[in-house]
Amino acid sequence: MAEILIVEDESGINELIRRTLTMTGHHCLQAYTGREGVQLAQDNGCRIDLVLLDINLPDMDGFQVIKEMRDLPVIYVTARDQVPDRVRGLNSGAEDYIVKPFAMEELIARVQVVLRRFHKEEKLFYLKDLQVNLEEHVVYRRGKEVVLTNREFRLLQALIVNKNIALSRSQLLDLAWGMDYFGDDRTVDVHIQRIRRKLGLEQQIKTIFKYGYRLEV
Amino acid sequence: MQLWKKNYLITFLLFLLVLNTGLFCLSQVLFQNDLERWMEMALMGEQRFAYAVSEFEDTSDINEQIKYICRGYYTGNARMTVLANGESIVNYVPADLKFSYSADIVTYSGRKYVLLHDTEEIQGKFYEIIYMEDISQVYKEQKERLAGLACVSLMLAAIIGTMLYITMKKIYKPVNHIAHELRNPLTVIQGYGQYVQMGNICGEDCFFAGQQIVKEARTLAERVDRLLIMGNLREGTIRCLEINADTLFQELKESYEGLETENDIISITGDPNLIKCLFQNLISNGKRAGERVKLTGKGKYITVWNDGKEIGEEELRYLNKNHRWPRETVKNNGFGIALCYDIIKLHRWKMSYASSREEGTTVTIQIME
Repeated sequence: MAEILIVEDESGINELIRRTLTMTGHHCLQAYTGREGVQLAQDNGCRIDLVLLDINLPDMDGFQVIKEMRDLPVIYVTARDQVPDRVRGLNSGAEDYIVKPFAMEELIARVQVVLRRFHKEEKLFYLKDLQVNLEEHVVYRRGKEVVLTNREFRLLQALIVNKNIALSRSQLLDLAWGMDYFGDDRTVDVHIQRIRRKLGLEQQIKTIFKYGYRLEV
Repeated sequence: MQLWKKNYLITFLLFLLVLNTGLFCLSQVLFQNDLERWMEMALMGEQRFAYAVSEFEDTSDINEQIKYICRGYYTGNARMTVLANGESIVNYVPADLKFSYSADIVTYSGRKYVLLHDTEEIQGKFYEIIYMEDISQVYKEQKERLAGLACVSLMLAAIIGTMLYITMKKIYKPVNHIAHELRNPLTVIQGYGQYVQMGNICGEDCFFAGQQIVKEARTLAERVDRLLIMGNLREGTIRCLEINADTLFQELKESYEGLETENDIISITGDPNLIKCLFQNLISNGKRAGERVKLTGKGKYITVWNDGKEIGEEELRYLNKNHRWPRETVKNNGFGIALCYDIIKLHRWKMSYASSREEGTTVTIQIME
């Protein structure tokens, strides 16, 4: 679970990002101005794992704010989509640059990438009698190791990283099998059944009608 | 590359194509005319010779007379070869010159010549006349003409290209600002839509998400209206109607919670949508800047005051005099102020800003009849 600081002046977007990341297990701090963001970063610096920063802030722009947050990984979340802005953003020290409007799953994926880069991603996941070691790719149920195939583990990992968010069958196929795989969506169904059976997650891995699956925690 | 730059390049290239094709065709037509004129002159020259020979009265030394005439032509830059019944009388045309038509243009020693080949029966004899005249001058003039037209083309391309670039940039900038303003509400709508669709949420969360979607959809609708208004503004036409000032003030008071109003103006003449948009912008900016906002109508003036922080000197200067916003000066996107000035200009009104720490910021609009 990571501590994420959101610096965004539009309250609707700020709240949306907070809810999305909270659903996937992160804890969020919110700031609505640049100065507030800088203050929160200074007060909680050692706890904060990632900053999501808008560029167009009312008091100071994101490029000035990032200078005050030297040691923290930053992802720009902005409506400025022009190449010079992206280049400037990345050159100013940001880890990534997301343009609005963005999909929820994209935000989650990019946050995950940066957390992984800084070794701040979730390593252990607990649910019911399960312990999942995401680093070592090992699953224990009631203290006993449960053997999962590589595909099954990757599928489980995708559900854990995006917990409480519905993923479509094609998304799960891409995440677990890779973008080059042109298989049937039913492959996902078969593997999900196996995971449910092996790990006793029949109630937790919910089928979303005509869409996909969601791990509810 | 940005879309407007691509459009600019395509338009500019098309323009260059049309311009240069036109100028090239023009030069070719002029060259053709010059060439035909010279050919006619050469033909006349050759026929003059044939006529002169046919008019000789004394034919005993006709060959000498022919030689004499041909020498005259030679000094005048025309060469001739004359054969009488196959026998050569004068031979100024180079023997190695090849030609196959009765009239031709040939190149010899780097110069251009018109070549005419004719046969005439004069006083019982068949004369074969080969007439060659230097027309390099025509080609030289054509080269100079092409160079001149190339300069004209370059100049026109530079002027038109620059004007086109500035105009397209001017059009693109507000479109870019509008696009930017649309992205935020779209993010909220898309985001909460996905939140409801894909998230593991309770009824309360669902309701909250629905509220956000509705609110931002309204914001999006307002901004689209503004875009349409901007479209009308660019055509430069407005409706002129008499608007009840009290009604307008009341509507604005209802739209903005806490807005203070005071009015003694009876009516305002102008476009109702644009005028409403103008005051909405000014009041929104005032609300963003301060706690209190007051809208006052007195005599020929309407003022929008807020108790917010003083506006800096440089910014004030831009607001009042120079409406070209450098990127660093623009707060948010500056689009609202630009729109206000466009509306003011169309109504032939005047607008000015004043700001101080003690008195807050006042926007004064002078209404002209």
